[in-house]
Amino acid sequence: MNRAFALEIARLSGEHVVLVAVSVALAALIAIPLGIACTRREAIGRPALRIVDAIQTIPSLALFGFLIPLPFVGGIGAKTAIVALVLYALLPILRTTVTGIRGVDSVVREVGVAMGMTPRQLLVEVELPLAAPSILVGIRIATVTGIGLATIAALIGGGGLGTLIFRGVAMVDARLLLAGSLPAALLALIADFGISRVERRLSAPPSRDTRV
Amino acid sequence: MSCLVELIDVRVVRDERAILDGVSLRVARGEAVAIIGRSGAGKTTAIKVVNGIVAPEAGTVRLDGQSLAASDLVALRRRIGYVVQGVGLFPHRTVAENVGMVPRLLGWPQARIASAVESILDSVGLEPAHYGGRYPHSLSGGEQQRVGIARALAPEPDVLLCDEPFGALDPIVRRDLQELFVRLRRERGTTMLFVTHDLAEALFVGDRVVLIDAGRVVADSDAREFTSLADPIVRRFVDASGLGGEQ
Amino acid sequence: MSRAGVAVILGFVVAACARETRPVVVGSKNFTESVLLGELVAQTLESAGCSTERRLNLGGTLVCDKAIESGAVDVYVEYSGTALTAILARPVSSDSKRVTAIVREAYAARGLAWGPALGFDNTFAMLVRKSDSQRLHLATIGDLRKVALEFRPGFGYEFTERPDGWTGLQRAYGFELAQRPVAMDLGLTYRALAAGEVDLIAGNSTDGLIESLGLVVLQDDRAYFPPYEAAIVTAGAIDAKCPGARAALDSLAGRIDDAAMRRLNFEVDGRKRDVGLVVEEFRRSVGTQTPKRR
Repeated sequence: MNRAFALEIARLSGEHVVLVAVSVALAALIAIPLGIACTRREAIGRPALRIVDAIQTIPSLALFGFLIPLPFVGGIGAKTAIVALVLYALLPILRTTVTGIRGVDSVVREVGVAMGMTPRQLLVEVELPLAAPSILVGIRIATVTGIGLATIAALIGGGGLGTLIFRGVAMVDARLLLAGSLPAALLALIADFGISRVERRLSAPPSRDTRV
Repeated sequence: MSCLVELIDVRVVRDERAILDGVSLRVARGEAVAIIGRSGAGKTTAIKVVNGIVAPEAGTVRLDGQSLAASDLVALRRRIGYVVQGVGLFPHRTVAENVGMVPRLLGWPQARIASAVESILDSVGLEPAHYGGRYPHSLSGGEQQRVGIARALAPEPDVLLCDEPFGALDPIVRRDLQELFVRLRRERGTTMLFVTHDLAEALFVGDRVVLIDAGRVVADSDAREFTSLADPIVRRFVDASGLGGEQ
Repeated sequence: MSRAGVAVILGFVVAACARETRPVVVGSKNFTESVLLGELVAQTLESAGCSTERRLNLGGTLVCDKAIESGAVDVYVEYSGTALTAILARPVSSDSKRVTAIVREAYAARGLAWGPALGFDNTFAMLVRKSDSQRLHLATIGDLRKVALEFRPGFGYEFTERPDGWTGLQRAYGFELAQRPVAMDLGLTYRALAAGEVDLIAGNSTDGLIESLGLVVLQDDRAYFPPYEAAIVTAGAIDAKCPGARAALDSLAGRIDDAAMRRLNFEVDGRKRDVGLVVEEFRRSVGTQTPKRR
């Protein structure tokens, strides 16, 4: 493998990481507050979950077809790709946020209320910390699937490793296909491992508890 | 003695069933009232209307002369300790953080919180240096409920609400905790409502015993006289507890 | 009765027997245009009195070729450039007459007949918006040199990457656009062009979207793109199955130009209309009979 090709793979891997990181971060910024709202009001919860479910079933090509003519979020390039990736990442984060908050022990919640926590304090001091491992599972799923999914960015000139893959498909070149898929698989493994570690730290007995 | 907690003709309805069907109860400052009754009698609901977790459909609840309906519930709850069977310790917080939670919500300075936590942990028999940094899941059931009691008492509440706090503990641990609890409460003179289905426990912790059945107050008497009441429901309770023989 | 009369009667009997036992099998590939052409062939044969069996949507080029070679299919529509490179594995050529000659000869050697040509060429087409074409006077690919600085091209991966794609085109015409092409999904390039996100795309000359999105094909006046002329391929067995078949198919020669094929594609892809109805309508409009009802 020559040096220029290695550099290109590295550059596209970098673009790929940016696509996934930005889209998962934006999805979390939308899905976590939305998930909280879902647990507060059924009138928000049901429709929101249904819409996010429905988004998941739209094929990426069709989604891009909708997005290209739109002002601000549309057009071609990385921005539109990120909009699509954000939409796809909403579901796992929203679901696990709702599950995590609903899964908080009702006694713990009641004691929190009874000791005079405001709804906001209850959320920040009790519900979110206890739901955090579950929310992180959602972020991990969104990230790992997002790394696979981000190859679609190349459908609209958004860069990333999909560029190599689609080039490989068009040219029937297995070397290009591998150069695109192997780094993507590697990124997925790294992300899975890294976020799992954070999850374990949050949900397992903290190491401090044996300290005396 | 002034009246600190007052329930006047309180009615609570859930799923078209009256959980509390016109309950009136007055608790004087410093008094300990044990509420007994069978499962589903409404005794838990009777204390949950006191801190506003359950809002009554009718009737009035007053704390220190002020109606709950007109009070800031958040501020009011910080003056009321709450101890429940499931304990409900925050699993992601250390023992010290759990105990210091309400003082923190009340905005006490750090140093005051730390010393209050230390002294109350000491009082409930948990060595602060050893237990303060531990997490709830590493404690035994008895230790967890000691933390629960400490957490309720730490902010020096006006009223203590207890819902079967020792129901899940083995008899020996339970006896220890009952004794500790009665001693702490007497020392501090904290007003208390204590729900239990165990008559012996009610007689032990309460100055007064109130029997609730089917959402109504059936008996309300001094603890020393309770077992000699003639009411048929009281008699059944007394006989079932095996405490009637002493008469 | 004259001998000629006997021969005619015998001929009918033979034809009738053949029709009863062995219908003409019409194949097509699995995309709209090929299915449309398969349907056109089938209806034309039916109106000539042949009985037919439709085997449309057969998969790709190689499936169709194997089917006609083995006798499973008697007739289907193939493109000259595809036959030359994909089936015969010969080098690409831009000379349409030469390509047809090579293909016809090679097919004859395989016992297959190449032709008649239907009249359109489904090749690459450089497309621009109609408004740009009018405003900037763009008619041929060579005219792109006028907009070399400002035009932003967007192509599918294949056209972007292949040496005989964009790179070769610019060399052949002797111009170079300042902006590198955005590589994206081929299907999405049409929308990107219509939305003004790119200014030049490479599509298919018979795509129905060209008309419906208001696009213009730039003329390939230097014949850079290899020809993909559609022609009817028939196997020898068709004569035994239906003696009138060849004459009927010959009547389709040159009947469909690029614009007509675009309209047909758009009727099906864009308007979601039934292929059979679209073909019937087309045949009526160009004056061939509607099929006999059985």
